[in-house]
Amino acid sequence: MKMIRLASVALATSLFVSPLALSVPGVASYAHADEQSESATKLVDRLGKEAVKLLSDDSLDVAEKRKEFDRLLARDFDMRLIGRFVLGKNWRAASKEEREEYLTVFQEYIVNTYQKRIGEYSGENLNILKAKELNAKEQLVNSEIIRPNGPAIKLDWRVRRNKAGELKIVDIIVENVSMALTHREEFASVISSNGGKVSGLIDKLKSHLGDKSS
Amino acid sequence: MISKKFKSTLLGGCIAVAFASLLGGCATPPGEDPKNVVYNEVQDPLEPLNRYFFDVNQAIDALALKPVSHIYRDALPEGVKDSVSNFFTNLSQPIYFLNNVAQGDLDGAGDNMGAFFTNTFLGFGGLFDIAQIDTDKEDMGQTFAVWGIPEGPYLVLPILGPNSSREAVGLVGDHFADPVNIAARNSDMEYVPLIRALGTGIDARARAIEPLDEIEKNSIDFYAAIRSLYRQNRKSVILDGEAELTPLPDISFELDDDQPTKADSISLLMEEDDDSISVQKKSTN
Repeated sequence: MKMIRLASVALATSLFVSPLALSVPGVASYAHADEQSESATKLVDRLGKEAVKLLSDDSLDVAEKRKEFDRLLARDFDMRLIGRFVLGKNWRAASKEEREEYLTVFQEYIVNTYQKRIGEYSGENLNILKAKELNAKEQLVNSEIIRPNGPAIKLDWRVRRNKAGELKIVDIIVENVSMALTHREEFASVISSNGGKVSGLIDKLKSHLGDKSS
Repeated sequence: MISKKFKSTLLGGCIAVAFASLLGGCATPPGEDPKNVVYNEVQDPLEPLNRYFFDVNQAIDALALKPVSHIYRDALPEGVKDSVSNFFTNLSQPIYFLNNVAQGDLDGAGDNMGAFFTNTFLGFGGLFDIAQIDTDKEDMGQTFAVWGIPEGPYLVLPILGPNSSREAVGLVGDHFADPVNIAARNSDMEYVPLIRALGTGIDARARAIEPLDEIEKNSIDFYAAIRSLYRQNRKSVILDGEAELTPLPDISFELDDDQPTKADSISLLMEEDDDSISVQKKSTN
């Protein structure tokens, strides 16, 4: 019985592994017609469309697709902020050098984690439902992945306006499971098992990345 | 100390089960109030023991459950697997019904009843999903949560896997309160609950082979990743996946800050850097 629940999370999470493997039908309905949520919806919509174009483009090889993926990630996601959120309270404890090193490794880790499914696109559709305001700076864009086989998966995008006034995605929430929070709790556990040292986490991330490339 | 605290939590849960059966219909459940279901920092005082059982479960999974699930998945045609799924889901409808009633979700309970009778009689004992009603899984752990009982320490049980103390008690309660299990016991078919659990487990495991492999491969602390996924998912199912209640993490930096701020946990949740705090502080003053 336990496994069912676990399975549903697991399934959803794995689909997140290809968050960009989505095609977006042109129709999107807006619950809030205000400017903020509209532009947040547009951001997700554009990202989805570009990602699908990228993934279904057979003229590109995997390396080129990965490069494009990197570009989309850098353009639409606020990786610094996500990295910082994921480090949580340990951000305060980290030295300036550790923070910079961590952010670099974190970005690599995320790219590595979510890039693997490139080329496994199998006709999923992203249907944008609505956007709602969380606070003055943040919007939550609700969408769902329509799969050829199996039930739809709920996918929410947390979009935030940064200080420069640009909208950036700061979290993806799959079936109510926040990816940023999951990473945050995982990283906190690694840090505490390394005597509360952020350097322990950095080493662990590095060796994880090393295992992957070899 | 820890075990004492844990025992008292367990005991509290047991008492709640006893009361639940006594009170029955008289109790007025508060319904799903999102305020009752807060996502707190993880509470895992038994972590060493939990990690031990997590490893044991991983070994059991690798040796038995996963290979069997693999065979099940690859050997059977899709239609047969769907029927297996439907059959076990249908057997669970009566206990979902009871839990929905206990949670005060009468619409949900009605769906459970409709699905059960339709599929049992028209769907050849539940092999076919004729009713096509989307019913959520409702267990006693969720019922307790709706009643406001806190989740208690995180717990990894041998074979059964991730749980909170509340959910673990609920699991036992569900096992004994389940009408299908009771009927089986009364007709001297004690093996039915076990077969049911095995069948449900294999069916679910078979659908999660790749996803779980993927999570394990990508995580740097698989135990902590599963713990987080489990707890977030629990919170979501307790709220019946209400779209408007998307549970955003309400833990934030200021919990650990030198100068605590209040009333703006969400906006500070993703703070950009230190000076943005002072700006926002000024604006709230």
